[in-house]
Amino acid sequence: MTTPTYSLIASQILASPAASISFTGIDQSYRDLRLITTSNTGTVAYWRIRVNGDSGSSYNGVRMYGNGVSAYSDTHNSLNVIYGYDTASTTSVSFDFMDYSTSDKHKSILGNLKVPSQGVYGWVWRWANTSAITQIDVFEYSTGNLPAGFGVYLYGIAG
Amino acid sequence: MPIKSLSQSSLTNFQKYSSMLAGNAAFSPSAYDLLETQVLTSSASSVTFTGLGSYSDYKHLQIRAVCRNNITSSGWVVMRANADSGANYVHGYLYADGSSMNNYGNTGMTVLRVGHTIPSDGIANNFAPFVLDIFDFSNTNKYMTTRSFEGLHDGTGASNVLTLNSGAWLNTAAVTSLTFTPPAGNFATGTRISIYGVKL
Repeated sequence: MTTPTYSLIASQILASPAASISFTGIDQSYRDLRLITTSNTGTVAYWRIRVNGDSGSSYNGVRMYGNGVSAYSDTHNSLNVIYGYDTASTTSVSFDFMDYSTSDKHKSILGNLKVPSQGVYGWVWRWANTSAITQIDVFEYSTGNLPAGFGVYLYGIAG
Repeated sequence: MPIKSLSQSSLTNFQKYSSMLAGNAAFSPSAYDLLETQVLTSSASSVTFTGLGSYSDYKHLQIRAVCRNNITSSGWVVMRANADSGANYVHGYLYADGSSMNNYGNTGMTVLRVGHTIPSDGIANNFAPFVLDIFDFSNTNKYMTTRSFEGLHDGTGASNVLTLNSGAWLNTAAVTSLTFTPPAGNFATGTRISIYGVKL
């Protein structure tokens, strides 16, 4: 007997500018989480992600990028955020938070981001913490707000 | 008093429906289902899913996993279909190591590379994730083809890596089993591999 999975846990599309979109009290009954953002607002704002409100130097990532002409990879150690992108472009972004509800693993996150006519990014992140993820914040990282029309969807994947 | 019989004449506002779904939400069969999952409670030399022929009503499979080794060797997690150990696998991939990118291709392989593990001398509690899509696994007119996205940030026992992979098993037989093996030694306790069915 199979188990139906992949359920929308929460979503929010901003009707007016706001500093952040937060999902709190995340259901712990799934195995993985998938976060998807949508943006084509025409307004530049740089968004980032934190989990469980952790603003310490806990996020570590490896990136790949290619645009059909050139490619590169770089490493980011001990950041205080997970990188997102900007809200102006038409982007398709997804982040998979693996084994998010366990308490014996650092949380690994696979992300990919596509920006038409600009290129493709891939990410693997490690949140250096074994706590279960109960909160995800998507927020504007500079001084402004996330613009109206920016949306975030959070799905649970059973396992 | 218990109800022992019920007749139409005893009902008020009686309305007859021909469908048992009347008054209920529309039934929408899932297109993405968890089939099986294995979370290791002790180390194991491999993880195998058998009996996949019973899932032929699905078109594709997805594997979601986090992996760690119980020895200091780091490297690829590999997969075989139907226990085929012949040189029947091909693999092309983009490989990023945190400072540069390269691309490679291999033919005549005896396994398919799909992910990595964190070795035992890697950062404690760190597990390497991979998400693997397996297309047309039960179609006997096509080779099984795959795509995986995987990586790790460790920098202690294992070098940082992020890869995007395509592969194929050069055999048109329906896939009935999949076996995942670490680069050496055993998968460590806590390693998790789940398999999902995807309908179209």
